[in-house]
Amino acid sequence: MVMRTEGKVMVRRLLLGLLLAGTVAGAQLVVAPGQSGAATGAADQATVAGDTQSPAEGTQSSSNGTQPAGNGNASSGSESNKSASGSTLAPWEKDMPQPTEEELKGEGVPEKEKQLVYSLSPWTATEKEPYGGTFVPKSESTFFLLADHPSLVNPVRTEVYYWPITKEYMADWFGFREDVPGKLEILQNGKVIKTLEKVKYTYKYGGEDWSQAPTLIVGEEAVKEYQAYNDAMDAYYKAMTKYYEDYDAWNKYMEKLIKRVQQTGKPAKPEEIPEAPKQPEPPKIYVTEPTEAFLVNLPAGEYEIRTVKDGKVVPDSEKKLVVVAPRRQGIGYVVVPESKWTRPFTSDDRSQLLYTWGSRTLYIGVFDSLEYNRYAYTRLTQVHVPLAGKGTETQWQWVQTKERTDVRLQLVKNGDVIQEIVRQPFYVKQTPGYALGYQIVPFDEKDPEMQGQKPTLWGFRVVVPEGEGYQIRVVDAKGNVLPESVRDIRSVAQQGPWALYAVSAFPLVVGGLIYGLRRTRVPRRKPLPV
Amino acid sequence: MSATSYRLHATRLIAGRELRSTVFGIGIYIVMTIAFVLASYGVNSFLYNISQNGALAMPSPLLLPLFVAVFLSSLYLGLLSSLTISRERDQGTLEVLFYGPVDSFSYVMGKFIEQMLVFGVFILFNLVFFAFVALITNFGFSLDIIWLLLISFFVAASVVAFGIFLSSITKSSRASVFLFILFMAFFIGFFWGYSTLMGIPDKELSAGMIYLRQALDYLRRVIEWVSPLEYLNRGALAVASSSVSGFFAAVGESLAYGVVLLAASIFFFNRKGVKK
Repeated sequence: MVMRTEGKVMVRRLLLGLLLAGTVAGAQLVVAPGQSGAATGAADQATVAGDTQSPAEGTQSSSNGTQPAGNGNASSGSESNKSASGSTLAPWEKDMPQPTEEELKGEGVPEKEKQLVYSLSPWTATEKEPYGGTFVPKSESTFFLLADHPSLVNPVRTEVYYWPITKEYMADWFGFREDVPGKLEILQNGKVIKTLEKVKYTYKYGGEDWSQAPTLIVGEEAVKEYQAYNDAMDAYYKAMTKYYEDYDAWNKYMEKLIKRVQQTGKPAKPEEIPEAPKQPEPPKIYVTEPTEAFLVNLPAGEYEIRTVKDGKVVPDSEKKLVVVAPRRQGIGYVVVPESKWTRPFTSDDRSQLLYTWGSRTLYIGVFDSLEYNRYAYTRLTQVHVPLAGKGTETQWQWVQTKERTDVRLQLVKNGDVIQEIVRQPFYVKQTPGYALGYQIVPFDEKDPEMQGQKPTLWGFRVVVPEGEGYQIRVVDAKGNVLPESVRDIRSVAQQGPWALYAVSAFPLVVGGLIYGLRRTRVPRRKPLPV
Repeated sequence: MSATSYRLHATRLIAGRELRSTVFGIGIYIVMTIAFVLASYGVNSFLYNISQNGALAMPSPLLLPLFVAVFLSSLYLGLLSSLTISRERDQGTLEVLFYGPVDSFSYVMGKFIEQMLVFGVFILFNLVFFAFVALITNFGFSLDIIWLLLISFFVAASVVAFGIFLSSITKSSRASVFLFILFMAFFIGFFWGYSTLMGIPDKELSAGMIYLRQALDYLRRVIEWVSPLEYLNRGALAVASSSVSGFFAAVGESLAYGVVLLAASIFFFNRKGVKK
């Protein structure tokens, strides 16, 4: 009985509490639209302060001058029901502390600083993404480029901010961007060895395959290419306009013809039915608008660069440039085992042999590879990320630069070529039914299952037999073996682990024998005669 | 007999006596067995990975187990040399020896040569073991294994020299063994930590880990000249990448390291004396 009474009291209190909370929440919801910043700020402050007073109590206490200092917004609001920013304040809000402009800005908006940065499009030596994109902020004194190939360097004034979420500097290119005019001086050991003028450049996308990397076009060729692209686009738009006109005319004619046929009941003669106009095809290329930058192409070494205008060095434009060359070059393989086609692995140099478990089917891609210093290669495209590559100065990494499609793969046994394989497309087909499974089959466009699809992978299909003495290697169009392409293949023996552990004990057996032998040879001590 | 002849004679006697004692003891066989069990574990791991993936590309899978086996063996020898010298000092044997025709040079060289001869026995066993493993796993017994064994001889010389050096600068056997274990544990821990950190891509590392990686990289530039493990690693990398110049550089560096430490050991023996 007592418990039931207490329960009723608790329910009443709960309902009262909910009603009160609903009143406050409802009031906040009314205010919120249009002044979310002020309302949220005030609500947040109340929460932080641990204010549990009712709205009415809040007003009373404010009249007692208990508002936090340094906030004039509340008092101005109490006079006109308007906040400093001009937004309408709720009755209970007018005496609450209002956030300052700084507070309204919040911690999520980083501070921007106008800086002279070098915008970079460094050549990356890779076929898929030949040019990277980064910039050298004021805080970075050194940047890297790859040797003996042009990269784009452009001094620009922009607003830079640090984005702590991804731990990198970012440039607000669209907010503020101003090209810095002048020439680029390249110095080595304090002497100017090159002075560069800006050149026009553009990127050309498309052609036969949109997935291919863009081509960099520089100088007058860039302007011509852009002009040609524009002309092609103009011609396309004109052709489209004409197509719509023609189509409209054709449509009207056809409507008349159909009406006539419906009225007369006589079918139209074939020569009366004109062919529908064909829609013109858009240009298969896209060319970016030419812009200007310095084209830097240097041999490996350490340099200093600076921008010079009217004989004077532009402030903050001096940087150290390190141009790196690969340590080694070779032929790399990307190997897709048929048993795990989603888990490819690489063999970067000759020391990395291929080990197989029994007879295996492998799909192999062949690449030209270069070995670069890991730190330099990471910083090449990530100068704006202060921590990128730190601590890897002494490490090296292979970079697969270009897939070799002009070669054949040979399977060799004891020096004799037993199979020569060409590169072909393959398609991964799921096996029917609910159970997981797949088959890798040669890609055939005519196959109804593959119509409209693209090959899943391209490569050389090698069936490695079980046994010893196998190698793979690559030959060029003339039949010359590419020396760095040779890889031994070993099919490992499938035996249990205990054989090895058993063999491990052989030193103990030898030691035991030696110890025993010594015991038998050394004469036993006899007790001295008394 | 000239002074040099006396010295060489004393060196030969010390080395011979110690060699017999070590080879006829059971210690090195136990150590070799432990090393080979660890190597077998490594080889089995490689076999398992290959069986799971169907195929893998890597340098000879025997190189890493061999690396572990030879380093463990050289650690044992280093520890042994550090322990025996300190113990002989503790027990006063060293003082007695030095009253005879034995000086610092002949004593240090005798100890050193004895340990290197024992390492020769280790190499012989390693050769047999890994040849057999190569045969039963079909990993192939490549020349790389011979090269790594060759460089391991020089690295073992460095470890032994390190052990002798520690015993020459400490007064008690306990201190020298403690220091040896401490240094080697640090070198191994550093090597393992550094290699692990380098294998993690940038994107998966927090800022703190990147700073740690940078700090380790700077530290490594010093440690690579102090830690015998780094000499062995350089040699192994040179072998794996078939770099002849790298291989001979690693041999020369570990040789120089050993010579410097032995010379320092003789210097400290002369300076501190042999009394306990």
